[in-house]
Amino acid sequence: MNAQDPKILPLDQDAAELFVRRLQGEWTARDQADLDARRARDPPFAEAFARAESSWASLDDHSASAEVMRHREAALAFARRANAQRWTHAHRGVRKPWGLVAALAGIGIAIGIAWQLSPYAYVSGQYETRLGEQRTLDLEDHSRITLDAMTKVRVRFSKDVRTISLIHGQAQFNVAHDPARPFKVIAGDREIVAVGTVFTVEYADQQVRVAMLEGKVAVLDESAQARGPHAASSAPSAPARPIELAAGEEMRVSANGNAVVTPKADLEAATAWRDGKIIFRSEPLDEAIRRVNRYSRLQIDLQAGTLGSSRISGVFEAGDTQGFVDAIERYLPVTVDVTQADRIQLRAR
Amino acid sequence: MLIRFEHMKAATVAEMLGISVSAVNKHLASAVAALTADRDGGDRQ
Repeated sequence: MNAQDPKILPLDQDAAELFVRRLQGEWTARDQADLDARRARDPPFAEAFARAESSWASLDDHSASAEVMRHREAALAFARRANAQRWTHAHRGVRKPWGLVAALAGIGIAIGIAWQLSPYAYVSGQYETRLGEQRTLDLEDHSRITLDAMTKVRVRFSKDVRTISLIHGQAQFNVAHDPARPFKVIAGDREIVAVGTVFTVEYADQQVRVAMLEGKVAVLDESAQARGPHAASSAPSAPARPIELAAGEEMRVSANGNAVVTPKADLEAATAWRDGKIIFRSEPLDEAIRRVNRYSRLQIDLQAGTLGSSRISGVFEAGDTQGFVDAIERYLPVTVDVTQADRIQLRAR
Repeated sequence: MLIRFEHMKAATVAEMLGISVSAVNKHLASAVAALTADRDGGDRQ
């Protein structure tokens, strides 16, 4: 937005400029006297100035909100990049190439040593679980990540942000409150930003599912951000706004990018894996099989066809693949073939 | 963001971004005015 924004009244712009000038310290007793006099003789201006003060103060209420945290992080990253470019450009042509290489190598080594010595170093890295395995990571900031079976995450902490990339699988995140360092979970092209909260994220087959247990998060569509406001389309569109999720809500993003938020989510089903159970409530069979396959060497193959969209419901023990297959055989028109010792094939009857 | 939440001075931001201090203040004033317009939007309709 700028001064040409039709929503901004000229009086508000005028008041905001004066407010900022006072805020930034270039403000004398004479300036204050002038401001007081103007407010006394011009009530609409006095109101506009009060609105500017109120707007500024109101930001305190949102300083730790997920969306503001995301913008803060983006602003810091932008400033760092701009600063780095400025230094790079400032020295262009001054250093000899080999001097520059040596200097960069020195900086790289220094950064490496600093990173190793930093209190956050040991939490960074890649963690994964195998078939049927669950694992809890206690992070340095007192956040906790519980990985479901067949899950892989990459943890990266820095001074400004805590970033977890969910490469595949499912995990629950208990995020320690730290307003100065947002906690980001990246799953595909979605970015879930939290401050202090508990939620689960599943990322499999390019589908993302976020279930909120406590607190709030903002979910950003990184693909929309990348496309920007002038993406090739029939009409220019604004970048997608973050979707805020509160406790009890769930969001599912399909492989084609459609996001659906369920206000009263079935959190019992979303977190059942923590208790070694799998709960299906009208779940497509192909998705259910993908989940069941996470917990056992005995793998189910579903023959291509319409069977995958058949809906199933039920509660199963994680790892009891045979029990799951028996139930499917009873309720759906399928034929079960044991093709190998560790493979079962389901096909439509 | 940098001034309001990270408590940076306008001069610091100006130096980082390679723009003048008055340009930083102009951007900041526009942001405050836009926020005011946004907050008052509902009242004016």
